[in-house]
Amino acid sequence: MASIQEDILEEFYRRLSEAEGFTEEKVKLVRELFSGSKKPKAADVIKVFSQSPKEELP
Amino acid sequence: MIQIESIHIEEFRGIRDLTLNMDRGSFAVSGPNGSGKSGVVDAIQFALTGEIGRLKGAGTGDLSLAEHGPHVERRSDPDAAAVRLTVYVPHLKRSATITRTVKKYKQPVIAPNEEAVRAVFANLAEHLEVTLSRRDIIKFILTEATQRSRDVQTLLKLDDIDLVRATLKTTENKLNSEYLTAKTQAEAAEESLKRHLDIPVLKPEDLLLAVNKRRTLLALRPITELKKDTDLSEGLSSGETQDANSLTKETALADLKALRETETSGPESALHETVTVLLQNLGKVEKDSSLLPLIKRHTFIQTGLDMMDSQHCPLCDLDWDMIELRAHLREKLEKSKEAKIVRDQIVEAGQKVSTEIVSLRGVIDPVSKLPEVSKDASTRFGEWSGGLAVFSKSLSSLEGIIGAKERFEAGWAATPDSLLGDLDTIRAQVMARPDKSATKDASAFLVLAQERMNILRMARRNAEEKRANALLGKAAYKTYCDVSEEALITLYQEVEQEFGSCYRFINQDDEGEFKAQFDATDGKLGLLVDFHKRGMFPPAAYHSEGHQDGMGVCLYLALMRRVMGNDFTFAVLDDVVMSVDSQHRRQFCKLLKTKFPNTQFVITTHDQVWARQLRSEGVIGSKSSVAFHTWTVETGPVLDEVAEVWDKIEADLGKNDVPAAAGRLRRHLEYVAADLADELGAKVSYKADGGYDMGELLSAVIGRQGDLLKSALKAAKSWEDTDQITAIEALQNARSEILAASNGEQWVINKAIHYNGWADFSKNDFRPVVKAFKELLQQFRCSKPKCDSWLSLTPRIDPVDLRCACGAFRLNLKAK
Repeated sequence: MASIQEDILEEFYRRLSEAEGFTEEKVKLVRELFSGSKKPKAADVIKVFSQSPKEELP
Repeated sequence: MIQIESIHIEEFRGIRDLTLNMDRGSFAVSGPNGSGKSGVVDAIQFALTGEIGRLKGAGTGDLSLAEHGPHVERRSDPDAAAVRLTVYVPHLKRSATITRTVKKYKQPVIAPNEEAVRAVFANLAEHLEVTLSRRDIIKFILTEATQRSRDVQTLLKLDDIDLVRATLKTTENKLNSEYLTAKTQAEAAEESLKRHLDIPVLKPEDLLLAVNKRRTLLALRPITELKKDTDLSEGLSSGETQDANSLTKETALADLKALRETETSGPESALHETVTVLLQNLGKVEKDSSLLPLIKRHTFIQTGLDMMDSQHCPLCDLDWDMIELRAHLREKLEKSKEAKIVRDQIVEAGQKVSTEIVSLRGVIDPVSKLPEVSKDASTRFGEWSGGLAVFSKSLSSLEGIIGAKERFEAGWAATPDSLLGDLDTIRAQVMARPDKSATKDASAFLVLAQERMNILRMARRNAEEKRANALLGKAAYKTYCDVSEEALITLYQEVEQEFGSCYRFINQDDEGEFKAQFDATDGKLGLLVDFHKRGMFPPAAYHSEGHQDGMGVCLYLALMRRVMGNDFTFAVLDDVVMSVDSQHRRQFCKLLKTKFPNTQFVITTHDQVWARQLRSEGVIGSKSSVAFHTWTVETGPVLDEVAEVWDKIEADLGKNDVPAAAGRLRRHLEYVAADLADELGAKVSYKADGGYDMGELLSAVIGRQGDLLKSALKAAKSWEDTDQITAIEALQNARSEILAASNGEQWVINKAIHYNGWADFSKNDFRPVVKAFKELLQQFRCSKPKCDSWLSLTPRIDPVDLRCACGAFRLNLKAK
């Protein structure tokens, strides 16, 4: 049986995938971070969230 | 999860050598205080987790598994202290064995040594809560809300939720901080461009107007639309571009003016209030010598918590119980909460000053690059701007901010005393510049406009990127908080309902409309319970100790059901309902049997009545219990295995030891007679000391049996139920034969002829007695091996049925 924590994370990933700005790749990376046996550091998450595609501005 | 098939205990705690066969069913261990029951609980817990709960926690500082795990006579031989547990794993559909010795408690021997089996035991090792005592369970009810929240979170394995939330919060804060810095840099770049263009607001049309004025002068094609790749200096030759590497006079003057205005208004003025509060907090730190250690400890503990991602402490690298260590550290964090508020205010002020420094350097640096700046002045500007950059960096740490107290008091901008003089000198020199030709001036204007435009574009791109990142951080944190809060609300609602349902089941006679209410906010888990429809109160407000015991075990069962779902196949209940009265314990038995039919409960109790109720209600089978009569250091618990009594009597007779066999039969009949008298409502003369004679009880039971069979026959005849009539008559005939064989009728009539003479019997004379009593007792129990429970009356007052626990034996007692 999935733990409550696992249930919460699954729903978290699902909602992220529907949220603006979270590409499939980004959600996948977040999932990989939180699925590991070691709890990720904020710096790891920042790295994932900082991989935004650069856009030219007028 | 698992179900226990058997447990073998050697030289462990108070037990020397004991094997219990539990056969995957619920099992009772009864006996008076100090008879060794808890040794069985300790052994199960040890085998599964490598720990003994009662040797841990408050007040156990001098206790250790290594020293106090082995039997007291073998305390120097931890290798001899061993527990072997044979379990069945339902989802693997196979049995497995785990053996631990105290010496190598972290290295259990698992068989079969396969990954799937190892995973099962590894998972179980995280579930210390499968063996809880009354003391452990009642705390869920009686503890204060903050502690209850922690205990329940620990039980539900919710610790990780807080850890993930903290990580996402830190992520959000850092990304937002990066964005604010980038935004300030973009604003500074925009100010710089506006000064150059001499326009108050950066609108494309105003920008193009200023630019096209110069382009027209240079006979260059006007730019009609500002695009993201527009080059404002397009059309200038490379020579013109190189010649125009100095600022136009107007821009230089505008940059000088901006720096002067900043100096005049006071660079620190925008953050006056922030720095005032900061200095107050720094004063507190200076005044109260205990505050800084508290603040540092808070940071240290928080860092430690963040780094706890294995079974090793990140500081000492030793193995710890991570759940316990986390709970301990959280408690410390709670104690330094006020210190955290001071710390947060200090760090926030540091971040604000750091951001302001970006703006300030944005007006210093253009001036420092003017060709009119002397070498000395250039050094001063460089030192000022560079010093601000270093200072800004130092503000990223608490220690850096605390160490900068004097600078904050003196004026953190550290404006050089010579600034106004330098600005005057530079301005005079700029004013004295020989006027360039209008065309050269226009070329320089366009080149610099493009340069500052490029800087602004880059700064804006960076700021926009950081903003997008910050939005992701914010959204992720909010999403996680929303999801976890919704999950926890649902979880607590489910537990609340299950808890209420279990409690109502036990107390349906007096609290059939009981309800409970959880309130989970701010790290607290409040619990209010209904008291006879007079309102919602804390559990300890009006409910008796017995009712509180009932609440504790009901909440535990509700939580375990929620945590484990269908995997809740096993739990040890160590004397958990000691304050619950007999009637409610009976209901508790029914609760276990009906609501948790697939869970194996290993139940210890010092109360023989409850041990009997467990059997009569069918929670445990007749072969699923052991009674510890007494305990000695030399032998450990002294047992009376109810299930094996007939085999043991036969073994005694095999050794021609009739006195031993007679004694065993006598004890068994004493034990059973009390059970049956209770189950069948046999009438005996009341004795205040409860010292009923076995013959007296058994006579009453046999008499009551006769009466009940007569009632059942009368009822069957009234209903014209021929099958029942035949069955009851058969029972009556069998009963007559058995009583005759056991001399029971005479015994019933004259109970003075009793067991005392058995010890003088020969083996061959005694065997028929044993056979007769065995058959006699069989009349009072279900013949189905899986049930094997005593017959009992349902309900106990004004009974309708005489039945067994499984319902295979059922006689209606009510006539038409």
